[in-house]
Amino acid sequence: MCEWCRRDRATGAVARTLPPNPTASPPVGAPSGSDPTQATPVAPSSQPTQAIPTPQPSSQPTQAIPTPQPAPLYDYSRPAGQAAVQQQPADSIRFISEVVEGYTFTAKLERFFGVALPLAALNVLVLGWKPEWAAWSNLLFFFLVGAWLPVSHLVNKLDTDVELFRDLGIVLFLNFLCCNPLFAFVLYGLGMLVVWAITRADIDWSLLGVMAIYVGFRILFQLVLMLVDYVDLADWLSVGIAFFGSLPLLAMFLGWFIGGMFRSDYA
Amino acid sequence: MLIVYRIFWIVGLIALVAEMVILANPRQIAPQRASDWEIREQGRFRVRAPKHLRLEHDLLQILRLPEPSDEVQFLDIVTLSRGERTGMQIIIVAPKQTPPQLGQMQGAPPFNLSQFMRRTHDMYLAAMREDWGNVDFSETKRTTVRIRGVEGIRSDYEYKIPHPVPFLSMPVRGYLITLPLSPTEVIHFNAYCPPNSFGDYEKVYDQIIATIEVRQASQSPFGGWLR
Repeated sequence: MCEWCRRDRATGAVARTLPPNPTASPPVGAPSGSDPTQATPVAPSSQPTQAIPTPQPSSQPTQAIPTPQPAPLYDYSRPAGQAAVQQQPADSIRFISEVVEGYTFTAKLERFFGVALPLAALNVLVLGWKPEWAAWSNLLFFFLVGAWLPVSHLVNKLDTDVELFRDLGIVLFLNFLCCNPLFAFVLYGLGMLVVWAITRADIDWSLLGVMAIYVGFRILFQLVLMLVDYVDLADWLSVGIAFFGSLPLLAMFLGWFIGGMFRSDYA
Repeated sequence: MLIVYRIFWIVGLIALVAEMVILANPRQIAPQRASDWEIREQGRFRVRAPKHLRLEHDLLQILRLPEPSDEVQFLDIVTLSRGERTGMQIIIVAPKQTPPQLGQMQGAPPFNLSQFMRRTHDMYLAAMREDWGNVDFSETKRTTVRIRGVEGIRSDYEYKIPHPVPFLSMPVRGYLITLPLSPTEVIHFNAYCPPNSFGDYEKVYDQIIATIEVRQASQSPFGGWLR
């Protein structure tokens, strides 16, 4: 009988017994006179006994419960050292555990939109009520969203990354040139795809994601202004050099820069 | 803490959808309520117009107008606009050479105001047709109208605002009304809007024309420096 899994070593049947008593337990197999169920070899006529047949002498009261014999979880009859573990080939790596730093991507998205969407709802309320305030309201909204971008850990903060600042400059210039943020976004996305297809370099797509968020919110607010008959579709589709139309993007980048100063790197 | 952000973005999304549904039903096409209108004064004009039509009274706009002929000069202009495709332009024109007064210069041909009105009306339409910002310009109808007891000319037209992407060109529909303003002046009302909202905005423009007031030239604060 195995002391720990309480199974019979030969048959694997579970023996329902009390757990081993660490304080007063005689050695395994040693007969005990106080054990009434212990079957001891005695003369049949000399001593009255309650013959409860037990397969093996045990120090504990045992009630063997015949059960169907499932496959043992572990074959204790096999001597140690012959564990049934497949040998890993020498040239493979077995990952035992994975270390995750900070939030997952979906968690970061939820953190970001948990602030951005209520702010957008507020902005839509303002636009529907006072469309003439659209310029200032949009500036404030995109500044706040830009400030929340790094704090939510969705994107990295604007550090002394020359390449990122270069990309920001390119995006701003495209917005000045195209006037329509959707056209600028499509141009920038196509340009990045072409560069990646040619060079196969490791490109940071986070700015494209930020642009997608910006364009999405701009389209939403423009739609609201069209629904209240404040602007026309032709104004949105016009292509040309315009500075004031790109101010919300500038506000967003400014907020991104300022928000990075307040970001806690220990999420 | 993540559950808090999740609640916020779900509530925000629901609020956004609800707001869009409310704004779209019914969608506001043209100013409906009296509180959407206000009276504004600029130059010689006193206009009662919707608030969302921005008033521009920049005399430099005259320089941007199509090139007038040698016999016509622009005196004053005001523009009510909402973007590129909706608005009204009100222009006062007069002959460049001062018409001869009665009793002076006997033998000089009398000034025919109605003829001058028709000529300036045609010149204005020709200038719009030649404007590069108007593509496929066509005059669809010409009628005689009577506004505030004065007979004038009305021409309906259509054109397109061109776009680098051809299928994104925006159609525009409008009309030009020319009326005599004084014995020596003529006033143009050029009103335009998207075709699908023409019916609603025509009523708005008719109200503006019916309530506009124009001061006499001698009362102008600018002293008539354009003459």
